Amino acid sequence: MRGAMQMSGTMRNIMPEQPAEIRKTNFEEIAKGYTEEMAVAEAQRCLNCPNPMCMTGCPVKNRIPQFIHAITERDFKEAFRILKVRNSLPAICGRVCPQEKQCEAKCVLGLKGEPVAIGNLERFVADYAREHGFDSSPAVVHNLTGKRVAVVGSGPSGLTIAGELAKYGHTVTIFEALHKAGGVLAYGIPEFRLPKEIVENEINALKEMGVTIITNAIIGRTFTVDELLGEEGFDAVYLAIGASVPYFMNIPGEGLNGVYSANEFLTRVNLMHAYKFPKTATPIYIGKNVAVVGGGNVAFDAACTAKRLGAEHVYIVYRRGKEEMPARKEEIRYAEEEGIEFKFLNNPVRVLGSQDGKVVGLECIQMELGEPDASGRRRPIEKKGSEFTIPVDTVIMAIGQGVNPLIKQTTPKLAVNEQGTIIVDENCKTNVEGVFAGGDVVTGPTTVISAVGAGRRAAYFINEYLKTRRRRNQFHLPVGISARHCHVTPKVLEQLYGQRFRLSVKKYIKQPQQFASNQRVKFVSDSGVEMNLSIVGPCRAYTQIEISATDARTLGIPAIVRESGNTKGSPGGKLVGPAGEVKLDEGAIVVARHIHISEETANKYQLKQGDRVKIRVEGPRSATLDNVLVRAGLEDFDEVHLDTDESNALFVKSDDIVTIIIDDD
Amino acid sequence: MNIILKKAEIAKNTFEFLIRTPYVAQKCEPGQFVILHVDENAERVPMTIADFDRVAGTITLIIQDIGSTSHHICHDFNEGDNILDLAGPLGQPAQMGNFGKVVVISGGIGVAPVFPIARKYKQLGNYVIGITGAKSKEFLIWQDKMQSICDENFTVTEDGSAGEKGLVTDILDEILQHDKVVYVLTIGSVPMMKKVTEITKKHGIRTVASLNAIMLDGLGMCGGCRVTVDGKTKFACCDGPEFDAHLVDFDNLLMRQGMYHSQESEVYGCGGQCKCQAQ
Repeated sequence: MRGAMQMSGTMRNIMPEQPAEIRKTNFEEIAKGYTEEMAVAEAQRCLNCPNPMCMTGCPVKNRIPQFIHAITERDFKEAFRILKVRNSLPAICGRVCPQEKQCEAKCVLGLKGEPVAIGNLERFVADYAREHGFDSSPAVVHNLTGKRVAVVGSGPSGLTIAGELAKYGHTVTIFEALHKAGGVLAYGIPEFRLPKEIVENEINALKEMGVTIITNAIIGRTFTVDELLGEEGFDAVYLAIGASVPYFMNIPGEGLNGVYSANEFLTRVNLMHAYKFPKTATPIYIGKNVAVVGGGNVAFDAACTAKRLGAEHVYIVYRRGKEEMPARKEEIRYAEEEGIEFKFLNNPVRVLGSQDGKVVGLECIQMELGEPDASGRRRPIEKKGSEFTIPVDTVIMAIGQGVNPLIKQTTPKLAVNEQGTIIVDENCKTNVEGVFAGGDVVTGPTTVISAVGAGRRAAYFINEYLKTRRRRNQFHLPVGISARHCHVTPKVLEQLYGQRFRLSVKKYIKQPQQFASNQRVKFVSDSGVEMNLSIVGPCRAYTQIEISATDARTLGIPAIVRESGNTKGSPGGKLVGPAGEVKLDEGAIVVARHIHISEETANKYQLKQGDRVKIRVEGPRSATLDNVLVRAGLEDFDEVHLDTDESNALFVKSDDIVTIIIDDD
Repeated sequence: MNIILKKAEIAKNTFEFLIRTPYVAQKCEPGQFVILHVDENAERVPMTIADFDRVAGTITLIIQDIGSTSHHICHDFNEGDNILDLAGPLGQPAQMGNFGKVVVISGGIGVAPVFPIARKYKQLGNYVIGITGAKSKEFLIWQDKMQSICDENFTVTEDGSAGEKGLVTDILDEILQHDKVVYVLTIGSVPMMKKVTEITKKHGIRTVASLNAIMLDGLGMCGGCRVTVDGKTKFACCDGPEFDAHLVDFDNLLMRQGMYHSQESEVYGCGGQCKCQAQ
């Protein structure tokens, strides 16, 4: 192992790593992190400069000398607290930040020797905190404001802003299009560079703070931005969708089998675990020889992944030279150690294929560097007639990414620039009222820490914006349904069936008001459809009856559970449907007069008998009911009723979000 | 929660699933699809929405047991089961308009995604002619549904066990001899769509095809579903799935559909009956 302690003051303490020969056969993390002793020794190298330049190199202005000082005193809890003030994701940034271009580039020690290993120390503190169960949630949590923010995308920017806004007391929902949260941290960065456990840990911390994460929700399709601000009732939207559309070179042969975008290649491995195929069902094709086109971190992630999947030769094909590569120094070193072969000053011109459409080679042309271009890097120029072919089975394109146009397509008024990135003002605001944006979707592809910085900035401005919005208190409830019955009225049936129904009273019932338990009644529609139902509870008005779970099922109400969810409900009151003959609105829970919540919930939110609240149901049939009365349930179990007035009927479905709103004013 | 409310084997190895997924049902338009990720170890697979009911909050998917994932869904998922992840609706909705006389032509289970599109054509005032083909009667589905929305509906089987004996393109040829058709939609196997396209090209009839490419995310972030249309690279997931058929490079599509064929047949021993051979 590397990592013998170096005591020289000019040299940094090297972090232990898996040896290249071993690590290139597994997906475990390459670097193993400092021990406590190493961390303290490294921290002691810090000069604690009165004018700390390192902070100026950090996009989030981390309080670097302070946290390092805390390490020298072995007060890791304090070090962690300091880190969390500015950076919501230290365990992640400690691993993936290009420190050599940021904080460490400014470290005074770097002038004569090696700069303090700030990234390694940040990682150490965050890992120590996680392993020792330090509470990462802030000491002071503001009171709930009742303001709701939709965060679109669960990458570093989205995760950061969600945490920040939750700290301010806002209610945050993150919408993620994929089935797993984390964005590029989940699908893009490989396990050996960023263990997924660390990402999950951050996501779980957010959930503990009350942030809701909805996966499989594509903004622009499942909901539009306008709907989030309208029917869905959010006060503000933060667009953090990143830059995830892969570029291709538009050279001949890119349609051949064996040409991947780095996004696809990495997603198959990181998100879908294709390396476990056939245990997992997602396949990946690798072959013997792999060419990765590009010189950024993504190219190196793809190259090192290909190596771990068993490729014999992996080439990095880059049109400039080693010095011009934008990848982190550490990644380049890892790749060199693992035997990745570099083809500098080469540019692909054509992918060659076999008869049956498989990649057999990559034709490249040699380049030389000319004058510096707009990016300040020397522009590569083709050397005429220098074409040659690298025999490969797989070509991975890692030449950059653009912004997904779906949000713009479905929010036409949103201003974007030519590259499709969203235009924001200095307050992170787009031109659409209530809509903010940050991270790669604004800047184009950058780094995790820049996205974190954008999330923090935007959180501040969204908080300021929300102050201008009307205050109210509201609480999300799991869907609250009676365990015993649900309610049906002719109006409800009309909404379900699109036909008019009337209650057909059998002869022997003289007084409709005296419906007794277990009597059967019938609703008949104009066209003769009959609903036979039995009454389970006392009825106060004969247009509304309480029916059993069995009948509810026949009507298309899949299962009736209590809010606390004992019957077929999962914890939190989610509904689980049955199989079987169900004809109506699947999962519709009909709430004609009242909604049931548990006594526990009522106590939690200090709802008292006689209070008036609003109920909002968010779903395909969003609705808000005003003037809802809180009263104790009539039944013998711990239930509180929220009574709507006579004329209102409300549908609640199992996936809907029910919110109780208590207006301040 | 995406609960399977009904499952029925409606033809040989062909299953109809009614799934409760209110948000998708509320938003989807004919021509759009969903991505299923049925359990933790599953692939993400695209499935075109064959029908939907906004009020009931349900969508209908027709799934044929032809590959590892479809086999898993068809055999291990039953009424009352939950599909872990279902994302959508995805893709551009089918182009709509009052075109005039329209032919919708499908092979195998291609009739399922054709149905909601054809229904909307009809609602918009088009004269809709349906042509559905299958290997034999036992593979034929949804003819009653097509009958109910088409002005004329033709059924063809290769062995003549139902409808006329022959290929869908035989009927198409015949219709184009005497009818003034202005718009054609085709969904089915790549060779079939290619053949349809060749015929309509001769007659200069505007034709669209809905392409079934291998997808990973369905959101435009992997590029695995790229297809060549008019010499340009397009993503079937977000630029399509419907494209101007006269501009589609069907040979490239067919080749790309077979990308993982050897790997999967090696593992699952599907002996050439893999998804690339679908329909």
